Amino acid sequence: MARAAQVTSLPVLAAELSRQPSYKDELERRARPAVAAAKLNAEQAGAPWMDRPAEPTIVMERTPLGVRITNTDFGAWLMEFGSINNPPHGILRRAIRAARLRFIPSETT
Amino acid sequence: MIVGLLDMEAIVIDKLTNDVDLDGFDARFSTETPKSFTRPWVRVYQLDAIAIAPNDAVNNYFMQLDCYAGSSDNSTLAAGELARAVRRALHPLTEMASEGVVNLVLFTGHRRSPDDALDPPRQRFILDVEITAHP
Repeated sequence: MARAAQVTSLPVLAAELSRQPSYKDELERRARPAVAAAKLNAEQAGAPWMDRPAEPTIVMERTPLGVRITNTDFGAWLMEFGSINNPPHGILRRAIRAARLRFIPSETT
Repeated sequence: MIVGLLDMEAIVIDKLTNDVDLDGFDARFSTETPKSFTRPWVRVYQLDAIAIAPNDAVNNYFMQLDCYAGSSDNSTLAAGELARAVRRALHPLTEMASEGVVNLVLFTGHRRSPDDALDPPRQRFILDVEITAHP
């Protein structure tokens, strides 16, 4: 008879990991190709459209939960998803895929 | 040997155009924004195609589908029903014989995003879909 699999819950593991600087270093290392792709995509889309002074269009930053890549342009939403007058450029979504990462949509993004 | 990419926009538009469940929406399916905004429409846009096997033997097509309500019923409900019907229509792509073989249809985004380029803003749902296929 097959033995039942045992699952040990580690509820604090994610929180513990996210506190480790080496964990953030690794996330940042993995995010770098996506940032490079996003910058290239933005350039091809003619960015900046409505830029914020003294801020690059694509920025990467550490957050309490991990690493975040942001399109800082005031027209970022339009650039990403398009409108009746503009084609979608999918700058961040394409970059995530190009870096072989998985894009998980969230209401908080 | 280079196998070549499929015209995934054409495949998707063909499927949507011939889906009987979508007939009732009187919607248009195109890669372009229509000239008239009276009737609902779906804009099909290929954002990317990434090879997942050598020589373009298998590719992952990343598509954005904008599901717009028409001006006669510019409601969230109308746009939402159209978007859900589009999703239902595309899943069977994996069972159909077309110019290529579709292995996987995976919706990765479904967000409500009214388009404020029109006044009043036109109700729209944006679908992200990844289609894995080979010729």
